[in-house]
Amino acid sequence: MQEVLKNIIDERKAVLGEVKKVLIERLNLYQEPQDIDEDTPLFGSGLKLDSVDATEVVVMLDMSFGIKVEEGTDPSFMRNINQLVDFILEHKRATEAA
Amino acid sequence: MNGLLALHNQQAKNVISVNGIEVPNQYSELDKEYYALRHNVALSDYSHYSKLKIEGDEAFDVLDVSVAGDVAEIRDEQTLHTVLLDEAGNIITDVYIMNDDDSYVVLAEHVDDATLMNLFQERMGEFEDVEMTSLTQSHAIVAVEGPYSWELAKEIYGMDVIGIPFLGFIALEDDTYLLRAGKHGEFGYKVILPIQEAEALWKEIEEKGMRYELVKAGLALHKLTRLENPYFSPAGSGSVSRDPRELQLQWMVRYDKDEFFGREPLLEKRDQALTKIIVGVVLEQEGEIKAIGSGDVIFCNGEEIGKLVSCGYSPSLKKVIAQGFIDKAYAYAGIDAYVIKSADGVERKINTTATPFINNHSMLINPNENSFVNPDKFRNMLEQLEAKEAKEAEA
Amino acid sequence: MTTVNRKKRVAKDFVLIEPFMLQKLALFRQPFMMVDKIINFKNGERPKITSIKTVAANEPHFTGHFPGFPVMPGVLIAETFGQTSEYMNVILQFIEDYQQETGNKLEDLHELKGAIHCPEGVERVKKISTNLMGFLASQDLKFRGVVYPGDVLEITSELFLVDSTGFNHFNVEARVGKKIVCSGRMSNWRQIHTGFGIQEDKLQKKETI
Repeated sequence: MQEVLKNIIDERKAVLGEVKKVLIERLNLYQEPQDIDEDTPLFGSGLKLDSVDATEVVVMLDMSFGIKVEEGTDPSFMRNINQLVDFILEHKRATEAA
Repeated sequence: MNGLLALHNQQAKNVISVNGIEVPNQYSELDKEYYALRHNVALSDYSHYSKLKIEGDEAFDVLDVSVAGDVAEIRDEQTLHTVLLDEAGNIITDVYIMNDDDSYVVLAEHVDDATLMNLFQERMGEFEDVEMTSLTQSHAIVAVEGPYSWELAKEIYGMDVIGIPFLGFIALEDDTYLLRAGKHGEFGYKVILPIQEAEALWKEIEEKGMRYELVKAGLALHKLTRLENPYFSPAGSGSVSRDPRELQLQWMVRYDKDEFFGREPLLEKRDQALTKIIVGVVLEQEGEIKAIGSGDVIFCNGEEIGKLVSCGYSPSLKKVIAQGFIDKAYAYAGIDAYVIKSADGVERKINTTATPFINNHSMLINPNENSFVNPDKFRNMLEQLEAKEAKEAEA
Repeated sequence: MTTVNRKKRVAKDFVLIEPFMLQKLALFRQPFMMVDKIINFKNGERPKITSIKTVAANEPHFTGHFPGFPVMPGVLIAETFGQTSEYMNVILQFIEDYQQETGNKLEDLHELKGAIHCPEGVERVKKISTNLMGFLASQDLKFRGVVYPGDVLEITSELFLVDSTGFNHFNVEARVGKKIVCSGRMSNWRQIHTGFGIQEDKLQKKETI
């Protein structure tokens, strides 16, 4: 695999791993990280979180990734694990560019 | 006689047989049906779902030992969306299990009536205090779905509709259930009712639906929306794999449940390395490219890393979307380094992505605040927020 | 294909430990009796207990919490978890002691009920509770719904781990009807209590009893 691609994938893997680890801990999920698929929805089906759990996601973004989610942000950023990671990586790019 | 089917035969473009039951495949123009489901309200007939009522003292036990999900999770008026596994730990079909106090109603889209009953009978083991009644022939399923389907359903069934959570249901009189569920990412309400009542309900919904610009839709529409919001699909990704891990459906099983059919092989699988996964794929190029098809090979730097499964044109994204069955090392969302080679010999760039592919309109709608028909209310939360900000800017 | 054992059935309204018996056993007393009755218990690798606490409008704390708008305080919901889990610890010890004496594992819930609801049963429990007390170590709870007078709390506690230092860890959940109003984890530890305020090491327990 090419270096550039490998780095992108490694970066994504790292964030995926961290997100799953923290969610499992903070939300008392029964799963191990490999049991949670990347497209697993957070709400409705999938992890079936409720609004109280949603606050944990916001806290996680702040404490583990330094992201402060503003009020009124379109909640689709936490639709599933992949979209949460997309959000985190986007934010990382934005801060690096700045 | 089935009045509803007679109606379909008169009015629908075509009717097909699924699981031995006849349902409309296409009602009008596919793009009109699509628009209605994605923007306001569509009316569909899902009577082809196999329906099984399971009651008796050991009903819970029979269910819990047969499916891979945790039936103890659901209480009265709640539904479990889970799967039945085979002896290799692979998915046979997904099922909805509705807990109606002491009894259960099981809905299955992908197997016929006899197969569904058989699956439970094979798995019930020593449990015998149970009665299984098929509702497949006796009951129809009329579905009103779309971002404002809650509002139309409320007109027919009252304010209680607004309170039904996703996968919740209400048991109504006359052997009727109103289930909030759908496999398209929009609000959706399925009415499971005795077949002789179905025609009257269909007509009532059609009439009341006029203010909502309701369009009648068939299974062809749902096949399309299933592309954008993927679910377990025997004809789609289910044709290349039935492994919950490869299909990204691990959430439908409970590895920590003590006993169920297929548990040991499932746990064995869990310990083995994963080789391939289904990942969402979007074409970089816009437009409906007919040359692209299932089976097209995915390449990374000239190396074959996977194949397309289940592809089609997404009217919302205006691009071709697909699911890729990709080697694990490459199977991540957010990658733009891969290409596909299609039947026309052309290589085209693709992006891997999270699924569902689209942000459904229903996500922007709050039934407590918004309305389609009431001019005093905003259509969705976005409009509401914008108006609020505009007002504050003025002040 | 997995073989399945036929579970022993109890009626839907079965009560494992009756309210009057909880009073007799006196593990807790008013004004801090937060469990009305025990309705289910399942032994095994991860023992699980279910209890009921009915929330009544005339409970004293409602006058202050909040004035004119009674809401069950979260700490009291938390206390129901602690007490329910402690009852489970006692039942587990009871079953162990009973088996040692009689050889009967008390696998049938009706038998277990009978073994508790008799003078010998009461004495056995008192012996256990006089020597051992449960102390709360930690709770990690999410309060997902508000609880009001008239609600019937169905509390479940599952002992999922006894760690190497002797702490018991529970998964706890409280429901009102089908809605989960509170869920999370708690842990407690059990301490030999001689009644003189002198505490002895748990390890010595085997000699004292």
